[in-house]
Amino acid sequence: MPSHLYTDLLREIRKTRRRFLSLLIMNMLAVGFLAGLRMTSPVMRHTVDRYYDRQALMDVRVLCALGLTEEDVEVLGQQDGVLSAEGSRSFDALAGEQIVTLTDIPDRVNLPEVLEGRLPQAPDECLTEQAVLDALEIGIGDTLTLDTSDARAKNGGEDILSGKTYTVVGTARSPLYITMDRSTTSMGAGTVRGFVAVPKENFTVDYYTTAYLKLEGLEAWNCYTDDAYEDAVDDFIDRLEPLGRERAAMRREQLLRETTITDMMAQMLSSGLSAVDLGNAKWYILGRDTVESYLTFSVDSARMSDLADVFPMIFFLVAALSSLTTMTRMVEEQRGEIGSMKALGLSDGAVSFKYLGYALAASLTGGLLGLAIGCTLIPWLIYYEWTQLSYLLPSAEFLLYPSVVLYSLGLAVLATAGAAWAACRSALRAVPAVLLRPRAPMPGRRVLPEYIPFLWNRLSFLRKVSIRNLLRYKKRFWMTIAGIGGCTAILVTGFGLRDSIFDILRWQFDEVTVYDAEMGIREDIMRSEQVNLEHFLAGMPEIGDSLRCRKETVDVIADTAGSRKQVTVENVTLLSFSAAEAERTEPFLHLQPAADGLHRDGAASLSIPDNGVLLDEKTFELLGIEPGDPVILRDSEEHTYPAVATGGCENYVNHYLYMQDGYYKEVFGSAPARNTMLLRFSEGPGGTGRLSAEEQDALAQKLVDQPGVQSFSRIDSMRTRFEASMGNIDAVILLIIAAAAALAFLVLFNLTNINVTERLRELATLKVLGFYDGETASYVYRENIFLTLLGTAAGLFMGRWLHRWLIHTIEVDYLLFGRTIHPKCYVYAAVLTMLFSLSVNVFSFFYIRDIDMVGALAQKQE
Amino acid sequence: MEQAFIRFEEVVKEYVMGEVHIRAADGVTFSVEKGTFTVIVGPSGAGKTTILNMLGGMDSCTSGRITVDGKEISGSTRRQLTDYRRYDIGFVFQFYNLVQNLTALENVELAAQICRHPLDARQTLVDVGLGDRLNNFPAQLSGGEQQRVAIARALAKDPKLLLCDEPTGALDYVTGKQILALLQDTCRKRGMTVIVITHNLALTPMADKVIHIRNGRVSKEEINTQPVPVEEIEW
Ligand SMILES: Nc1ncnc2c1ncn2[C@@H]1O[C@H](COP(=O)(O)OP(=O)(O)OP(=O)(O)O)[C@@H](O)[C@H]1O
Ligand SMILES: [Mg+2]
Repeated sequence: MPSHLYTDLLREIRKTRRRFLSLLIMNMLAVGFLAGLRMTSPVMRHTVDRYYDRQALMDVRVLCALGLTEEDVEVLGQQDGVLSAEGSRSFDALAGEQIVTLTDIPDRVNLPEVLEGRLPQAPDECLTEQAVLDALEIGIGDTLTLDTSDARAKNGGEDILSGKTYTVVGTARSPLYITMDRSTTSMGAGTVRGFVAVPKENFTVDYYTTAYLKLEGLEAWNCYTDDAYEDAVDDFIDRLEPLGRERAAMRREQLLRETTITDMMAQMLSSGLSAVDLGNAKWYILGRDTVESYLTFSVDSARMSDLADVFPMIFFLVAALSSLTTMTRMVEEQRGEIGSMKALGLSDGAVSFKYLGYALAASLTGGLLGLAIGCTLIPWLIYYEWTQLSYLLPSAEFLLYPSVVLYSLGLAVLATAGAAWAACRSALRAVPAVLLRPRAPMPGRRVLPEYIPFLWNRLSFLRKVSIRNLLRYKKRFWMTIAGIGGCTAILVTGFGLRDSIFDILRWQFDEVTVYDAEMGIREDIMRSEQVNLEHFLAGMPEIGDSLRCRKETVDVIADTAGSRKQVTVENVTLLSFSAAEAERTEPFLHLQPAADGLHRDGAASLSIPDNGVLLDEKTFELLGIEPGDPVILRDSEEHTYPAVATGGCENYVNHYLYMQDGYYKEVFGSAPARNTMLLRFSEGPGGTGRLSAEEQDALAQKLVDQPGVQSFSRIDSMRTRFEASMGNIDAVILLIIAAAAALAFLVLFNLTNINVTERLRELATLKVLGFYDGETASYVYRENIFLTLLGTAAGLFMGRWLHRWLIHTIEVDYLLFGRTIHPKCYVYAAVLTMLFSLSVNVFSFFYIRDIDMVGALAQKQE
Repeated sequence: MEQAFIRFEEVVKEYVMGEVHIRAADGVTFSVEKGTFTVIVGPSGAGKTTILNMLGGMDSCTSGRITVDGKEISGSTRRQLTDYRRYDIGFVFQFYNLVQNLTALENVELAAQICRHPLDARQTLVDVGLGDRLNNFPAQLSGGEQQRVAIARALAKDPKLLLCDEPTGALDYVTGKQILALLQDTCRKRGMTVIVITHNLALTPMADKVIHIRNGRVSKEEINTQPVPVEEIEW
């Protein structure tokens, strides 16, 4: 290879540095974005998995309503495949006004990671979470006093803890609780603030509430991504079942002998599980996937991964297309030079060297830079946003899959260098003489508008040139339209996605389920208690209105007599109202006809049918049924009941099924027992607003203290939980919008740059003829503006389609995202695209102004 | 003494490339009378193109004075230079530089539309002998025909000064001759001031004035009192 070819290559890069840079940055963006987003979910899971490994998060836990003995734990520890077993006690307790999870400090499993201070050494020291300290307004070194009366009551009056006052010596996070959000408890109202861990010797109960097991050899796997992990755990659980039955039976007998333990205790032991008595007490052997925060993270990171799968590909395609255009046109521009090199007798390889080298240099450098920046910055940023919002996790640990590196970089290089190679090949196939001659510009072909003399003759020459340029070079035309359109489409999708996700919370909680709180009532509530309760509610100024109903959870199955596939929608909340109550649902539930993921203000409302069930839109869609079709309802005991679905109603979060008591009885064979009251708060003192958080807490406490009331939950807290979870996505979407904007800018810059370089000679000619700078620039602008307008318009359509497709891809079963893009998103996307186009044009104005006429015209025409 | 139409006074053009300073024009002084036909000759690299570009308002000089029709070109702003090119100058290049996407007629009209008093584009093309090729695109024309379109484009602006940089460089003998005849004719019939650069010393008899350039300086100025029509010259 003659060494001057390198010099030529380097000179070419220097001479066309604008083009080279835009090519490089485009590759950088494409690769960085693709690889970065693809690596985000793996990085998140990797970080969390490593955290679990470091803190020895349990692989399996054993719960028993009757508690587990020291011996149980010992036997468990001796099982095949068990690395370590540790018994643990945990109870709900009060620290001041705050509900906390009182637990012991483990030695081997679920180790807390101390963030500040140290682990307790003396029996009267404790470890807790920052959130608890914040809520109590105390710090490390202060003392806190625990109230365990609730646990004592459930333990048959015997207290569970010896010391009550502890000095806080440190704050920590636990792998068992990686989300900030904690479950609600059966105890009192409100949510758990966090844990308080005290040394084991403080507990006075002789049983454990849970046994945690760590299994051998599972650390090598990622518990979120490797199926092997789950298989191994499932295997182990299956093997443990017989032992569970045996040990549970032994425990039952032992307890029957001791009469002090009451039914109440069993309830306490199984928070989360429904009430049990001695008769059906058994071992629950569960994996990590039943730990709430483990699951939340799993769902969140899966959503991230779905998003990362689809979106960057589109982005990548647009960038690749633009690189491809650039390289193709570069080779075409230099046909003359290729011809003379060939005429000099250089081999095809030597001639292509410059173009392939140019493409490789740009795509490899850009791609590697993109990898370096994208695979660190993007996962870090997104992970950081996440943990900030709703997780308690250590900082990200990076990881790079060679496969992701290879294919993102490979695709970029292939698109850029492949285009150069293809263009070179077609140029090299021609004989030098053909190359040296100017490329015949499709001789004499007139374009369509010329045959309309009435219009054509009114156009200025520059307009005529523009129109001919546009219409004559079809490939360039379409590539430009696709490039600009792609950018607009990505922007539309980005903006649209954001609305689709955030609208639904607003719609769901402000427009559909508009009641404020839900109260769980004992099914066997006595008539007098119910009357008292209603009196009590009526007397409360905070409560505006209440509505009784039956609430349960069912699965809905499409009754598919004909087809083989059966579709099941699980966890549908069934609400049944009496005929009179059904008339009154309006202030609590706005049921409107389904409108394909779009809320319509003031649409006619639906009433709850008396001869069928009303389903939410998403369930209806998932089942693929028509109004009037039969469905099967399956209750928690796996009994099935045929019913008829009358239609779907607007709903976005979770699944709902509404029916009337009469039909309930018809379907299930028994009249529904009331167990729920929906509440609406009054508009507050003076009708000015809703209740504050403190007022709500106080109210909640008052309500759960009433006989017959089992639980109380605010809709707001559900909303907050969803908002936090959705908030995670927001960071990603903002990133997408920013990247799309950057890409759009680059593509436009690149296209304009190509246009200007290709027209250099014509522009110089115009300048020599005495065209003013503005007149000269408008020669390029007119085409740009036209292409931008057309590309933007095409992009708006493409965006609509892309958005819909993306929504379908990332939508999870229990959510219905908005399917319709707000007009404002189109406006934003269009305005941004045009703004970029404008600023690119401003850039090129200066470039055009400074064109060196002498230099441009001195060369031979090509 | 009456001021000459074009005056170059000690004009210097220096290119600086790193350490190297190249004086493409090194104190050029000459003058040209209105309505005359001038030929600039000289060896390759002598600085002919440099001089013509400065005269045409496409390039600036490093020092010295250039005046055309009493206006000083050398001190003009960008905008003034553009106006100067627009209204006063017609330029013909060795490589035609036509707009590929415009027909012959449109190329001429393109130039005409920005002038105050343009000639009729169609007539100009007829005058250069292309009356039947008005609607052809450049790619459909031969080199000589393209050069005629380029000349027609320059003429249609009815400029005060027609500058041609080796207009026949890419053409064969006969075609070259026709082009030169056309230029000479234009000068004689319209009284336009024409300056032509050429390598070909044989052409000097056709000019009113011949300026010899060597090493960036005027080495000799000749005046022909009896210029010969180009048709009578053989080379
Ligand atoms: N942009 C430039 N940068 C550096 N040097 C230049 C530049 N343009 C011209 N020169 C130099 O100035 C000198 C005069 O160049 P010019 O083009 O005027 O010569 P010329 O007489 O027109 O030659 P030719 O007959 O070959 O066209 C040459 O030595 C050339 O190398
Ligand atoms: Mg020259």
